This record gives sequence, structure tokens and C-alpha cells, in this order.
Amino acid sequence: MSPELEAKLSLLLDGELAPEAAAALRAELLLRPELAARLAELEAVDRDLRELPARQVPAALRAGLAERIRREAGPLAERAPRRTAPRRWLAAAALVSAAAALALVVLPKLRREESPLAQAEPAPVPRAGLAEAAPAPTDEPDVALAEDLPVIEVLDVLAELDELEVGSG
Amino acid sequence: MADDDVRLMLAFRDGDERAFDALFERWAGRVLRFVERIVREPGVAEDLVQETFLRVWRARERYVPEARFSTWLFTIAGNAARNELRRPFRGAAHDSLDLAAEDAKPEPAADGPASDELVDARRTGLGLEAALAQLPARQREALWLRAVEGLSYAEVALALETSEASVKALIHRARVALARAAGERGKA
Repeated sequence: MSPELEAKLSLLLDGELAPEAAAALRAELLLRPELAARLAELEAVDRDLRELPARQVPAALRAGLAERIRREAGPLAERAPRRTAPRRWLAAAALVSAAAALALVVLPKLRREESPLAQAEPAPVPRAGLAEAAPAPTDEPDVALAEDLPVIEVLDVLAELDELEVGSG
Repeated sequence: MADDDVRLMLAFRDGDERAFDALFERWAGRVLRFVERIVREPGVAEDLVQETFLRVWRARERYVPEARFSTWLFTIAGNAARNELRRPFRGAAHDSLDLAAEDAKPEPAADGPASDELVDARRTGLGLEAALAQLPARQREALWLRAVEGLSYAEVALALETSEASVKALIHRARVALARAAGERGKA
């Protein structure tokens, strides 16, 4: 048997022969028993290799790998946070922002609508009579905390007016 | 590239540590079998399995699935094993790493005399493992990846960093040598 023909048997075995060449070789195998026997010998090599015993991966190997990773991960984690770290940070930031928005928008409303104190008492104003000048509590101020600053400014103006009134009286 | 192992590796790249455990479970045994056939020292082979998976762990963030996961993994393992063989004061004469020379060896005549290594294998009455050990490292590696791990010639070429033509020759030489050794054992 020529080395070239034997090499073709290897290619056939590995599925690396072109379809036409493979068909021609299979036809030849039917006519030449010694060729078929050689193919079987080569095939047996592969089969025997696959059937070689395999031993279990020792537990110490896994433990050793875990230890090596742990040693590397420590300094690496300090120097360069994992790709996932920024995502976690962003998620945390988004959560905090959402909580802040909730506090800005919903809580003051709830405070006024649901708190017995808020329902029982009007918004604190320095004194009766100036309440008309001060912004009265309404059902609208969903941006309540954002409007706290103007309220304080108005109260300051009222205090100054009060002082003027006292002075002129 | 959508095999399960690639998906696991991508999950690991994205931070899923359990995916790395799953890859280790799937592949550590096969990598161990492979590197054992290259270095032929169980303790060294175990170190190489650790080294292989450590390299996978290190490479996770720059992993790009350009080939089957197994091809990538065996490329890493093969490189680690060859580096081990290159270390001074280790490696028998037949662990030739003169890669170009080995790839360029002429095809042995099918009916010619058996090589010294195979005669030795027969003489000592060793089995397939011994005959395998007598092969040049590159032949062993190429045949193992093809016959046992099912890599294509193109994938073996990638793993061995050589041409498909070289792989074809390496695999065929190895197979013929082992078949001949089996025949000798049968006669003995």
C-alpha cells in the first residue's frame, strides 16, 4: 500500500477528505479487503486512545486553583474593580436618586394628606392675619420641598413688615 | 459562536463566577488527560491544569469568542505544557521541540523498519500508553486533539500554531506509528 493511499485513509477517518475523493475511496475499500483492514487498524488506534482510563481530578487540584485565584483576586480587586462593579455602583446611584425623587414628590403630599397633624392644623404661619399673605396650603404642591425656599422668603418679608408696623405704631 | 461553553465563558466574563465553576467541572478532567499525555508526570500535569484555568480566569475580561471554547482551552493548555517541556533539565530526547524540524520530517515508509522508539515500546512490552509516550510531543498532541477531543484539522492547527498541512502529517504519522506498535504488541 502506498503511503499516499494510507494518508488518504487517515483523512477519510477524520472526515477531512473532499466529498468526491471520499466517495471514490469508499468504493475502493469495497474492492480491496487489505485496504479496509488497514482502515480498521487506524480506526482502532483512535478508539483505543479514547478508551484510555481517565483518573478523577483530585480535590487538591481544585482547592489549589481556588487558592491561587484568591491570591490574585485580592490585589487585583483593589487595583482594578471588576467590570461589574461600575454597574453595581450605577444601580445603587439610581436607587438613591429614585428614593430622593420619591421623597421630594410623594412624601410631603402624604404628610399633608395622611398625617392627622397635617389635616388638623393649617400650615404654620407666624401669626393669624398674615396667613393671607403667606401661601396657603393647597392640594397642588407636589413640588413642596422645592417651594419651601420661597415660603421662607415670604415669611422673612412678613417679619420685616411686622417690625415696621410695630415701629410705626 | 454559540456553544454552551462559549455561553458560560461569556457569563463568566460578565461576572458570573458560577459559570467558571461549571467550566472547570466540564473541562478539568479532559485537560488533565491531555496534558498528562504531553508531560507524562501526574503532579506536573495537575499543576498545568491549574495554570490553564488560572489563565482562563485572568483572560476573562478580554475574552472574545473567536473559536470553540475547547479549541481556546486546549490552546492554552498546550502552550502551558510546551512551556513546561522547554524548562531546563526536563524532557526526554523524544520530547523534541524543534517544531519546524519535526513537522518537516519525511513520511516514514509504511513497510519500512519500525523506529527505535517503537522497537523499544515493543521490547519493553508496554501498551498503548507507552507507545504514545514514545511519539514526538507534537504528534501526540495533534493526534490526541483530533482523535480524543474531536478537534478539526483547522482547530488543531490553531492550537498547535502550525499549518493544516503540518497537522495532517503529524496526525497521520502518529496514527501509523501507534497502529504499527499495536501490531507488534499483538505478535508478542
